[in-house]
Amino acid sequence: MSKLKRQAFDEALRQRAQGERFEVEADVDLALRRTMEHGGIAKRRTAKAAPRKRQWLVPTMAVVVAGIALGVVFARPPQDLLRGAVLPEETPENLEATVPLAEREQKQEPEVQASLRATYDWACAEFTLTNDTEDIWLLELAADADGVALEAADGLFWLEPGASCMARATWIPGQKLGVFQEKVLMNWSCAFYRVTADVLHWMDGEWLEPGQEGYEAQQELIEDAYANGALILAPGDWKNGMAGEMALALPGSFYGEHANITELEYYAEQGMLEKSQIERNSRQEAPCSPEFVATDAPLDIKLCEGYVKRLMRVDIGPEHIYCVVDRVFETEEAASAFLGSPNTLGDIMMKGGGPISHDVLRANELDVQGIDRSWIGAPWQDSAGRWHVTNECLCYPVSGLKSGDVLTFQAGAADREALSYVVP
Amino acid sequence: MSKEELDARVWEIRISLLRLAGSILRHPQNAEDAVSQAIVTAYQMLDTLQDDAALKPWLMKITARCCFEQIRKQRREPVYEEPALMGKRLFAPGPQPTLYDTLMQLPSHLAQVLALYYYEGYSTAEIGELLGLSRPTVSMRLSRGRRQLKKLLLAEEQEMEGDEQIEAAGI
Repeated sequence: MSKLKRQAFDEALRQRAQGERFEVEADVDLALRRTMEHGGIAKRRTAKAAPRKRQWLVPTMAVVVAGIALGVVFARPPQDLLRGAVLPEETPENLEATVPLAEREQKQEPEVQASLRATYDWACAEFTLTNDTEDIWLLELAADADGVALEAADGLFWLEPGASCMARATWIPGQKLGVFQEKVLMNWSCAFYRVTADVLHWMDGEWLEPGQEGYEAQQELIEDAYANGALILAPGDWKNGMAGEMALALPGSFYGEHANITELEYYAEQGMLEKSQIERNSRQEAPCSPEFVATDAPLDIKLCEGYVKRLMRVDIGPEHIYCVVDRVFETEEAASAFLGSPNTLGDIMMKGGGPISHDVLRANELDVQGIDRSWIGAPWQDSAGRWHVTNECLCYPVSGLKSGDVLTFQAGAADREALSYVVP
Repeated sequence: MSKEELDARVWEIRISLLRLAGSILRHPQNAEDAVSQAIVTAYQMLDTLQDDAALKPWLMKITARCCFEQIRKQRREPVYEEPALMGKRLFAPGPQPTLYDTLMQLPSHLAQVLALYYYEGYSTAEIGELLGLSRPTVSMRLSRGRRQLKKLLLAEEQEMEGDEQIEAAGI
C-alpha cells in the first residue's frame, strides 16, 4: 500500500469510527448506575438455594441417596456454586498478550539461554530468547563450533514485550568416519538492540529480487518508508506473531551508495536502534555420546588381557553396518606396544533380524568400500585418561533394513549390557 | 468536582470505558465488572486527580488496570459463567455491523490499540502510557492491526456483495 493509500485508508477508518453511534445495553447501564449510586460493584447474581425441608428418611435409603448424589457430583463437570455452569476453555495466549509488563517482574534486557548436546555424528545447540521488558528488542545471535554446519542459529531476532522464541544450530562435529571427538565446543555471542524507532514498516510477502514480478512495487513501498524515516522490517515465519527471526531492509538504491554499511549499523546510526552496552559471550561444551543408545557410554564388549574391547561407533551404509571397535588400554605404553592385527570378535551379537555374520575389514577392503581410513592412526587418549587404539572396523552385510528397525548389540551372554541402535 | 458533576462526567464517558474494557477483556460481563470497579476506584481516589480536565484519560487508565487485574485473577481462579449471561452484550446491535464489531475479531492486544487510536483519537504516546507499552510497541501493533483489519473489512465487503447478488437474483 502506498503512503497515500495508507493515509486514505487510515482517514477512512477514523471517519467511520467517529461516525458510529453506540447504545449501551439497558442492563449494563443499570449496573453502572447502581455502581455510581452505591459506590460499590452491583452484587453479582447468585442462585438462591431453595429452603430445605426437614424430612425423616429411612437410614439405609438416606445412605443410598447420598451415595448417588455424591456420584453425580463427582461425575459432572465442576461448577461454580456462585455463578453456575462451565466456562469456555481458557485461552492463555490471549491472556499472555494483554497483561502489562509493569505488573510482572521486569527485566532490563532480554535473556538468552543456550543448551548444547552432541552425539558422535551430530551436535545441536538450542537458544531460548525471552523478552520480559516493556520494550521491543532486536537480538543479533551468532554461534560457532568446529565442524560442518547443517543449520545456523546466526541471525536477527525480533522480540516484542513478553514474547519469546527459539533458535537452533546443528552441525557435524569432526568430519570423518572414525575420527571421534570426546566433546564438542561451541562459542556463541548475542548483541542486544533496543528498538527506539517511532515508525515501523513491515514488508508484505517475500523479499523480491530485480526482475521478479512485483519487485518495483515493493521497492516503491520501501523507498516511501525509508523517506519517512521508518525502520523497515522483513518478518520471518513466526508462529506466535510476536517474536522470531527476521531481517532489516533498506531500498535497493541504498546499497549502491553505502556498500560497506549493514542495515543494522545504518539504523543504529540513525537512532532507530539503541545498542545495549551488555553483550553475551559464552563458550559451552558437551560430551559426545553414541546416538540412540541404551547406555550412556560406548559398549565394553570384551575384557582381554591388558585391554578392553569397546564398541565405539556404529554407522549404517546402504548394504552394510560398520562397527568401529577400539582396544582401550590404561596406559600409553601399553597402547603403543600393541602390535596385534584386527581379528574377529565372536561374541558380538546383533538382533533385529536374526544372527548376522560379520567380516572384519582390513585397510584395502576399506578402500574398496570407499570408507575413509584416516581414523586409523596413532593411539589417542580420551577424557577419562585411557588410551585407545582405533584400527578395527567390523562390517555386517545387511539387507532389508528399514528406518525404525532396532539393532541390539549385546556383549556376550544375554545378561550382559547391551547397546541399542535405531536405524534412522 | 462534586459528586454530581463526577456522575455526569462518568456517564458521558461510559461508552469509551466500556469500549476499552470490551477490547481488552472480550467477555461482556467481565468488561462491565471492570468498568464498575474502575468507577468505584475513581470515586475513592478522586482526590488524587489534579486536573479535572484529565478525568477521561485518568479513568481510562484506571479501567485498563482493572481489566489487567481481571485477567490475572482469571489465571489464578477460573471464572464460571451463568448460562443466563452467555448472550450478554455491552452495546445494542445496530442495523449494520460496526467497525468495532470487526475490530473485536482481532486479537485483543491489537484490538485495544486500534480502539484507542480510532475511537478515542489518542496518539501512540498516549496509548503507550495508558496500556503500559512503549511507543514502538504501539506503532507495531497499530501497523499489524490495520493490516489485519483491512483483510477482515475486505472479506466482509465481499460477503455483503455476495448476499446482495443472491437477494437480487431472488434466490
